[in-house]
This record gives sequence, structure tokens and C-alpha cells, in this order.
Amino acid sequence: MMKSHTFNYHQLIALFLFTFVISSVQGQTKEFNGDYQIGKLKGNATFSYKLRANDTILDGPFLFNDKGIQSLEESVYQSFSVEGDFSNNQPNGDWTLSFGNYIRDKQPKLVDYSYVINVNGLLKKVKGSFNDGIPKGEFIITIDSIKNSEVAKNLFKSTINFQNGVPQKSFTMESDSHAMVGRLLRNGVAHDKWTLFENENLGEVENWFFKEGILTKISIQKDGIAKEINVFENKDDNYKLYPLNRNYLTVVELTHNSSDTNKIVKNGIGGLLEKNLNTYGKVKGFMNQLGDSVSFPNFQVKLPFYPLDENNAAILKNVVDSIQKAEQLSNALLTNAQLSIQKLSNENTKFHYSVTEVISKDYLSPLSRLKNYSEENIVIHFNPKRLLEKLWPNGLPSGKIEIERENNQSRVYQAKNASNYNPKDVNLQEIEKLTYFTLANLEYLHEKLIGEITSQQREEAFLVQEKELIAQLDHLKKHIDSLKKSKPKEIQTTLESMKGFADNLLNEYSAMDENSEKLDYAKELTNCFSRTEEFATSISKLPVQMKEIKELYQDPVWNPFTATVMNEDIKKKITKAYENILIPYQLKNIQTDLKCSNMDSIEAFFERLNNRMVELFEEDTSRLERKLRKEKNPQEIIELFGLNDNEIEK
Amino acid sequence: MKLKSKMQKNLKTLNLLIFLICGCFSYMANAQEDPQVLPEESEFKPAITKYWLNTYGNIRISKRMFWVAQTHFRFEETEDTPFVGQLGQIYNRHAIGYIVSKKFDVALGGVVRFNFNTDPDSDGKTMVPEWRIWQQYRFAMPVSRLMFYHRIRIENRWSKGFEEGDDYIYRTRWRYMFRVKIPVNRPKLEPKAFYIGPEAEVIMQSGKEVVDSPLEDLRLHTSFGYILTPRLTVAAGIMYNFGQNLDNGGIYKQGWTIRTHLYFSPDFRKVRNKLPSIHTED
Repeated sequence: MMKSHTFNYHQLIALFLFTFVISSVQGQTKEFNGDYQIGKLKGNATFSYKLRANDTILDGPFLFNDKGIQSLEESVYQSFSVEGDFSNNQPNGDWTLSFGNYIRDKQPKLVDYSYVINVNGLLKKVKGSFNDGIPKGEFIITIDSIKNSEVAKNLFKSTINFQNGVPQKSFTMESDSHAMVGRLLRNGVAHDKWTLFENENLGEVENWFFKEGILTKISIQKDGIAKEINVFENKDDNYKLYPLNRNYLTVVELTHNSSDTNKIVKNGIGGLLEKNLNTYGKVKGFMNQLGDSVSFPNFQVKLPFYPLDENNAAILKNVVDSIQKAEQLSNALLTNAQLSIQKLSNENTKFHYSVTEVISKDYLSPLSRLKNYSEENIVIHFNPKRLLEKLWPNGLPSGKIEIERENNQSRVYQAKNASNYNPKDVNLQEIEKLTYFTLANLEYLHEKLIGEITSQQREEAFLVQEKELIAQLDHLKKHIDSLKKSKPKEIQTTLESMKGFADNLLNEYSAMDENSEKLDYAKELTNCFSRTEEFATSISKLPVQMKEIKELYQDPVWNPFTATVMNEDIKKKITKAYENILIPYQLKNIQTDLKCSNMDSIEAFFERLNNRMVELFEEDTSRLERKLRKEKNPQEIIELFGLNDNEIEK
Repeated sequence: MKLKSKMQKNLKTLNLLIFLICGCFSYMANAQEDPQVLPEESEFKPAITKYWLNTYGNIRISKRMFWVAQTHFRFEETEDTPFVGQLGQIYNRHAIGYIVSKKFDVALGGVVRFNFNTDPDSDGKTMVPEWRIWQQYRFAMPVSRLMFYHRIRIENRWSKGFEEGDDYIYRTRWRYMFRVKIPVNRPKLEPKAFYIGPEAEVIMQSGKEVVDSPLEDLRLHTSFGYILTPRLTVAAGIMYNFGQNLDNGGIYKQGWTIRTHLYFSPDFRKVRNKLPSIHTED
């Protein structure tokens, strides 16, 4: 037993010595003083840092400010000053940030034997403290309007108390005309009455009543008249905590979709909250470019949550896709100048045009609203049935469309697929059928109306150009089909989407008036389809490039347990961001947002990305990899990879 | 001459008789208790069940050197609980290894093993440390898509019993293991490969105390493993073992052991030779 004790004693000494040596090596602090750039701001910085595994760890005071005015010739001047402390790469202690954007007066004035040039502009200031990267205590953000070098007006001021990073107690937000006070629970959840005062007469003009995060009602005072609006009141609803962000404000706005709520959410308390969100977003964006990421947690609120099951989610996706197509068709017909003229002289065109108007107004308009809610991902906060009933308060339109004529007779439109849905049932299944009904009829009307534009008017030039256009389109489609073979699924989908892209362009083209612009457009489209072919070829080469990058980021490693050499994936955070985020993001962009005009920039992006991946393999990327650990947003990653700057330079 | 040889023959017979009679008496007197007496036929004790949780670290410290750091937790059954009833031994094996070639490496180091008293009837000490010096020679042989391994280990071992007054005894252990690794879902042993690893190890011992029990243990083990990365592998398997009792070579202990293994081989040598961009003007 004695032996064992002796062993432990020695072990302790060894451990102590080891820790001492390591900490003394790591503890060497260095100083930086010189030119420095954060984002677009270029200035002078002084800070202390340590090197850990050759990674910069900011530690100690940090000061970054502009170099002062460089030339009196410049009329725009940006001043800034950032001062605070870091501890172990995390902001710690008091921080002050100020950013001013000024325009100078044209003429200097002589004041006390000196030339003085006044400036006008905006000054934004942030003052607050951090505890190891977590906001602590009072954070004050102000935006002042500067006129003749003096503060003319306080445009915005927000004061929030944080404890352990959670907003606490009461907060205030002020604009030049109003001030608002709100309360929060210890966990940052909105509670009690949030009140908006008018600066001039100090009267309460608006109140939001929260009960443990649930906004139960809003009361407003206007011209001496009080009005109350109940917001979330159904106690059976399944409420979940969400951050108070822009989506929340939209849901509040929609829950009582009246012009009142609309105005309130945009102007009153909602307006101040939105301004605050914007401002904190910018502060966070700036701080995150310095050391480790910081976050300013939003206020927490509760919203009803109605998860969509897989089946309904799929239905909704199809519905949204179809609505989009229907909108394009409706738009193409109703904005067609030629049709507008022709309907004046042709009874048939007039009838079909009127039917299109009815379908667009009565059928498509509520569907478009549903599409928007789905795209903003706020449908989950509404009981699906109630949301649909809100959109179709009188049930679905019957499917029977009658157009009044001048002689008081009416003509009935024989709708396609009219019996396919039940107008009395307002549910997602019926909405899906209604969408297909709307799309099918608009397609029919499109064909009918475009067909009614007399072919005599079509010039020979059109016929020749269109023949070429169609031939080019056919060629493009065949080319894509040949490229698609044995490619990964995502590449296949992207290539396939280019066919849809070309079809959509052709649809757009066919909906155009026949004039010289259209003829030019036909030539443009022919070139665009030819360019799309090249673009498709370059996209089809992506898998090969990705394979090369994958092989580049492999290191042969001798495995002592198998006594064999194996390839190890290295810098996985970078290759994952490349493979799983950036490439799919850009492919998705192609699938949804391809234009004749952006093919060059997308192709250039892929080329830059590929080159950057080769560079990153050689570079020390430990800091980048650490930042990528938390980052999933493709835009942020593009920035972290340094790909945005290139684009600006370009 | 004839008489002399006859007498000698009789004397021999007598001696044998006396030896046998004495042996019989002593056997009858001590029956099972006296471990010094060999039974007439080899006797296998009932198999006990065990669970071993083994970690194997090979930490690369230079181009040719690595630090072997292994920790094993060995559990064994109690009357009520099979396999994991009680902690039997905690085992720390360390060494410095030298890579002679990709297919041959050697290692030299020490072991401290904490033996816990697992005999419920014993009043002896709860724990006794055991010390070893060990050396190892390992050869790897690619055969088609399989890998064969030969491992020779020689250990100098000092151990003692749990009773008060027990002294350390010295033994030398001679170990040879043959192992195969067969990739299952991949053409070779590489990341994301499952493999089957049958192995057989014979452990012989010698020393003053080893009189009739040179076969300390014969281990037959097969594991199923998965290579997560070149630096991390996990495996699990089952082992059957048997070997002679040190006190009585006629009595064999045997056991069934579930074994789980974690193999890791970090390499801290990586030198990042470029500074972050903000230092370019330092």
C-alpha cells in the first residue's frame, strides 16, 4: 500500500509541473498596434492577444477607431470607435461602440480664428457590458440625428437589462415621438403590460398585455376613443416559446387581420420592437467579427403551434408550387396590352378576359395569400382550419362563373374540372383541388386567349425567330437529358430545373405583346437558351470537381492498430460546409432563381469557391473551422470563406 | 549380480508402493483441499462470466515513437449478477513504442494492475497492486485483402495474494497471439469498414512458483469492429479462455468474457505553419 501512495504522490508532482509548463507557455500575451480592418471599416487597432495553437485569442483591452479625416475634399465621412476588453477571446467587461455617418457642409465657417466645417448625419452608439461573451447589465443603444455638428434629435433609444444573457425586468424603447416601457420575467419571457406613451402629452396611447409570454390583448387610445383587440385568447391552443422576431409581429398582425392591427404592428409598439431587432442584429453582426460569437437573446413570447403532418406539408408544397404557376399565367394575361386592346373588339376575347379577371380575384387572390404565409413559415402558428376559414370566410367559390353582358344577359363559363372540389368543405384537401382547378382553368384561358390573338398580325420575322427559339429549346432539353445520365440526384434535379426555367421563359415570352420588343426578346431568349446549354455543361462537371476537392482534403495516416495506411478526411468543417451547405445552397439558387443574367455570376462563384477550397487546404484554418462549427447560414459561410469580397472587387 | 539386480528391482517396487500408499493416504486425508496434489484426471472448474471494457491508446509522439496507453476495467460475476457483478481488476499498461517499419513495431514499458479481492469468503485485503515490465514485438502480414498479425509479449510479473503476510512472487510470462482482421463491407481496412477479428493467444509462465502449471491461459476471442476514422475504432466480441491453476496444474479455470474495445491513436505532432491573417504585419 505504501508503494501505491508514493506512486500517486509522484504522479501529482508530475501533473503539477506539466500544468505549470503548459500554462506558462500559453500565457504569453502579445500586443498588436496598427492598421486593421473589420468588415468594411478600415482604421487603427490596438489590442492584446495570445496565440493558442497559432490561433489568435484576443485577451485584454481592445481599441479600434478610424484614422480621422483624411482629406477635406471628401464630402462623406465615416467615424467610428470601438472600445472594450476581451478575456479568452470573449468580450468581457464594459464596451462602447459608436458609428457616425456624416456629410460635411459645403462651406467652412470662421469661428474663433479657425475654419470650422459642420457635419450633418447619424450617430449610432452602443454601451453595455459582457461577462465572458454573455450580455450583462444595462445595454443602451442610441441613434441620434446630427445637425450642424450637434445632436438635433434622438431618433431611437433602447435600454435593456441583461442578466446571464437573458433580458430581464423592464426595458424601454424610445423614438423621437413616443416612448415604450415593457416588462419581462426572469427567463426573458414577456409579461404584464407593455405601454407606449406619447412624448408630447405623456398619455398612454397603446398597451400590449402579456400573460407569461402570451399576448392576450392590445388596447389603443386614439382621439380619446379606447379600443381593445383580443389577440391570443384560446386557452386550448398548444403554445410554444419563440423569440420575439419579425415573424412574431407578422403573426400578431394576421391573427386579427384588420387595418387597425396592421397599423399598430407597423407603427406603435410593434414598430419600436422591429427597429430594436434591426439594431441589435447589426450590433451582433459587428461583435461577431471580433472574437467568439456573442448573442443577444430576444425577448421570449409564446405563439400557438400547429405542426403540419408530413402529408399536409407535402400537399401545401404542391399547392404553393401550383399557385406560383397560376400567378404567372394570370399576370401574363391580365398585363397583356394586346389582349386589353383586342377584348374591345372581340366578344370572345372579352368574355375569356373577364373570366380570367374573376378567377384571379375570387379564386387566385386568397390562394396567393396562403402561398405567402407558407413561404414565410407562419402557417404553423395558425389552426389550419381557422386559417383557411379566415381566407375563405364564405366557403370556397362555387366553380360557376357567370359574366354579365351589356344587354343584361349573362354568359356562363364552362369551367374545367368544376366538379372536382366541394365548395362547402374548407380544408387543405379541398384547397389543393381548388388550386388545381384554378391552375387548369388559367392554363386553358391562357391557351384560348393567346390563340385568339390573330395569327395574321404575326410578322414573318417572328415566325423565323420563334422557329429558331423553339429549335434551340429542343436542343437544350436534349442536351440536358444527355448530361443528366449517371449524375448525383441533386445535380440531376438542378439540370432538370433548367428545363423548367426555359419553359417558364418561353411562357413569359408567349404572354408578351407582339411588338419589336418581343422580337428582340425572342433573339435574347435564343441566346439565353444557348448560354443555358453551356451553363448546364459546367454544372454537370461539379461532381468531378467535388471529388477532386474531397481527394485533396485527404491525408494518408498510418493506423497503428491495423498497421495499414488509411486516408483521413481533414478539415472536415470546411469540406462539410462546402459539400453540405455551399454547393446545395447554390444548386437550390439555380433551381429557384436562375436568370439569363445571373449564369455568369453563378459560374464565377463556383470557380472562386473551387479555387478558395484549394487555397484553404494550404492555409491555417483553425479559426475558420471554429467559426464554422456553429454556422449553418450559407451567406455567413460565404463571408467566412472570404468569397464575398472577391465579388465586390470584381 | 542377478540377486543384486532382483533386490534393486524389489526395492524400486517397494519405493513405488510406499509412495503410492502415502499418496493415497495423503489424498484421502486432504481430498479436495490440498492443492499440491494432482487429481487423477484434469479437472475443469465451472466457467465464470466476465466483462472487460478495454481502451487502447497509441499516441504518436514522433516520427517513429508512440506512447502506448491502455486502461482496462475487468468485471466478473457475483452469485447474483453474471458478467458485471463486481470489479475484478483495473489495469494500466503503458510503454514507449518504436515503429521499425509499417509492418513491424516494438514496445517496452510497465504495467500496474489493481487486483480486487473478489472472493466473498475472504477476510484478506480488498485490493493488491501487481507490477509488470513488458516488451512486445508485433508483425503484420497482408494476405490478400486480409491482415494477419503475430504478437510476442514477454512480461516480468510481480504479484501477491490478498492474505496478510502474502509476499510478492515473481513469474515470467511468455505470450504469443495470432490475429486476423477481415474487412466485411469494404475491400480493405479503411474508415467506415466493419471487420471481423478472430484471435488466439497462448500465455505460458515460468518461475520458481510455477511447478506444474506452465499454461497460464489460452484465450480464443473473436470481435466485430468498426473503423470510424483512421484514429478511432470500436469493437466488441466474446472470448473463451482456460488455463492451469498456479497452485495445482491439474485444475483448470475457464471463463466466458464479453469484451468491448476502444482503439484511439491521436497525433499531436501536426504543426500549423501559417499565422492567421491579422499577424501578417507583426
